[in-house]
Amino acid sequence: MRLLVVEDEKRIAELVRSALGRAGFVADVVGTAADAIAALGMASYDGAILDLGLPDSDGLDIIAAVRRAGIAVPVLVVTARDAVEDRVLGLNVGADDYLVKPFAVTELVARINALLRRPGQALGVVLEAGNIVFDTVGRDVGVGGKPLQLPRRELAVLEYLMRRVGRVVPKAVLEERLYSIDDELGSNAIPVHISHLRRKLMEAGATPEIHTVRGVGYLLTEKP
Amino acid sequence: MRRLWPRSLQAQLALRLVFVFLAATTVGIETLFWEGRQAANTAHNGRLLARAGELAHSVEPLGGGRIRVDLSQKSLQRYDATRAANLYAIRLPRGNALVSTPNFAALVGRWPMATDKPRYFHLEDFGKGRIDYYGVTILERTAAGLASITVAHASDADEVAEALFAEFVRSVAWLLPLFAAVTLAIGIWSIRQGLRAVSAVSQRAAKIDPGSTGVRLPLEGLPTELVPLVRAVNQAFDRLEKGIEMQRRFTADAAHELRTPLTMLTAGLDDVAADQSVETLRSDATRMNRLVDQLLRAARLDATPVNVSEPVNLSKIAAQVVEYLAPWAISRRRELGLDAPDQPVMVKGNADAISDALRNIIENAVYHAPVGTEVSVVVFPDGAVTVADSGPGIPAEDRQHIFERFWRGRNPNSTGAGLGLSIVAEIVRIHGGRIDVADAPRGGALFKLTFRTA
Repeated sequence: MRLLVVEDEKRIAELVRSALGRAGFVADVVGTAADAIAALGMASYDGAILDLGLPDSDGLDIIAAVRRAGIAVPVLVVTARDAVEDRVLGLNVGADDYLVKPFAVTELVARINALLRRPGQALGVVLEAGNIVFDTVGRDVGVGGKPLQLPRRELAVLEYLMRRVGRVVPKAVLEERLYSIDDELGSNAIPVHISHLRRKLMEAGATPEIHTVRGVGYLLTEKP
Repeated sequence: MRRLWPRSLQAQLALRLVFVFLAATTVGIETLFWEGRQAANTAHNGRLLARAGELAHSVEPLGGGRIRVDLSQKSLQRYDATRAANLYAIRLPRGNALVSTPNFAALVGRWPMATDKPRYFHLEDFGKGRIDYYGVTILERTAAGLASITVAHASDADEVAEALFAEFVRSVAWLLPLFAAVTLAIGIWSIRQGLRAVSAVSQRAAKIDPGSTGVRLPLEGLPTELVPLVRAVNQAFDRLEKGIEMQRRFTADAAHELRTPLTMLTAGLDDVAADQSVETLRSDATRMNRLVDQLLRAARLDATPVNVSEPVNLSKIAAQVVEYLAPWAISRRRELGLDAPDQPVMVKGNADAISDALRNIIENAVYHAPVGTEVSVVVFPDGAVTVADSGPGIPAEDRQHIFERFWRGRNPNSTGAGLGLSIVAEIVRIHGGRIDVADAPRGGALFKLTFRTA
C-alpha cells in the first residue's frame, strides 16, 4: 500500500516514513503543496498524510485542489493548530480525519489504518485486527486461521468494530446499522449481541477484546 | 484636615457655595449698617451746625471774661438736663469761661479748642443714661468774641440703621436663602448632568476585558474638561490591545514552535527498540507533551476571547469526550462510564472549552483511579456534570488550593504540572458556572461542574 506524506519538516517526514514502513506501508515524501498536488495527480495513492503548515501554501488548499480534480484519496490532516475552526474547515473541504501535533506515530498509524479500513478503501475489503481476519465480501471470519461461524447481526457488529479498531463505536451507530437488517430491534439487542460476540471470540482464542464504554458505546482493542 | 474635605464634587461645590453665601451675607449686612449710620449722621450734621449758630447768638458778655447764655424757650426745652437728649458747651479761648449742660463741661474742658473746621465726634455711653451722642465742635463768632461751641445730640443712627435693616430683612433678605438654594441646586444639577456622561463611560469601561479589547469609551456628551482624560484612556487601550494581540500571536507561534520538535522527539522515541530506559524516556516525553499542551491552553484562555453564549448540548459533549478518552483509559486498564438523560441538556457555553474542561477532569480521575475501576461521568438535566473516581480523593484542606495555577498537592509522585484544574476553573469561570469538589460515593473525588442552562 502506497501513501503520500506531505511534510516540510524533514526529520518528522523521515520518522513518519520509517514508522509507516514498519507498519507495512510504502510512503513517498514531498515538502511543498505544489509537489503534493502533482504527485497525487500522477500516481495512485491509497492515502495521504498532510501537514497544514507548508511553506508555499495552506495545506487545506491541496485538499480543495485534489477534490476538484476528482481524486477521492483519503486524507489525514496533521496540524499544530488545534483551534476548532481549523478542524471543521479541514473536514468540510474534504479531509477525512485530523491529528493534532505533537502526535505519537503509533496513533498516526492507527488513524491511517482506520481510514483505509473504510468500505471501498485499500484495507476495506479484508479487515484485520490481532488474529481476527474478516473478509467483508465473502462475509467470512477467521480467528487464528480457523473459521468462526457468526450470525448475520453479530457479523455486522464485528465488522463495524473492526473498521474502527482502537476507537469507540457509539451505540447509536451500531443500532442504526442493525436497523437496516432487522427493524424489530429490542432495546436490549445491542448488549445481547455484544455479549454473545464477546463470548464466542474468547472461546475461539481471539487476541482482541471488546470493551464496553458504559453509556457511550463499544471498542475493540487489538492488544488487551 | 485634608481628610475632612469631601472628595465628591457635589459636596465640595455645596460647601464652597455655603461659605461664599455666609461671607457675602455678613459683608452685605455690615455694609448696610455702616451706610445707614452714614446717612443718618449726614442728616444730623446740618442740624448740629445750625444749632451751634443759634447758641452763638445767645451768648452775652458779662464782662471780666465771663459770659451768659440766654436761651430761648424752645432751646431750653431742647437742652433740658433731665431728658439729656441734647448737650452743649461754650468756651471762650481766653479765660476759662465755660457754660454747658450739666456734666458736659468736665469732658469738653479737656478737649482742644475748636478750629475753623467743624470737628465731628461720637460719644459712647456718656452720662447717667449711658447714651451715645453724635456732635460737632466749631469756632463761632459771638458777642463775646470767638467761642468754641460744642453741640451734641443723642444718636439715633443705630435706630435708623436698625430700621433700615428691618426693612431690608422684610423686603430682600428672605430672598437670600432662596437664592442660595437655587444656586446650589443649579450647581449640583450641572455637575450631575455633566457626570451623567461619565457614568455612561464607566458602564462601558466595566464591560472591557481581555475578550473585548476593541471596546473604546464614548466621547459624545462628555464635558470638555473630561475629554482629554477619556481620550488618553482610549489611547492607552489602543496600546494594550496591541500588546494583547502580540501575546496572542506569540501563543500561536509558541504552539507551533514547541509542538514540532516535540513531535520529532516522540516519533524518534517510537522508532527505537523498547527497553526500560526507552520506556522511561517515552513517559517523560508524554508528560512533556501534556504539559506543553496545557500551558498553551492556559495561555490561550488568558489571551483570546471565548464565545460562551451558544446553546450547546452537555450530554453530547460529555459523550464525545468519553468516546475520545475511552481507548486511552482502557489502555491504562481503567473504564469510563456515562449516564446522561435521554433528552438533550442545553447549556450556554462554548463546546470546545467545555470539552477541554471535562477532558482535564476525566484525565485527572483516570490518573488517580485504581486499576480495574470505573470513572463515572453523570450529566444532570439542570446543566451539571459530575466526574467521580474511586481513588484516594482530595483532603478537605486541599480543596481550596487545587484550582490554583501550579499547585501540585502533597503527593510526591504526582506527575501533573498543576495546570489542568486551574484551566478547568478558568473555563467554568468564563462560563459563569461553578465547580465543586466533594467525596464520591465510592470514596474517591467527585468533581461537579455546573453551567447555566440555555
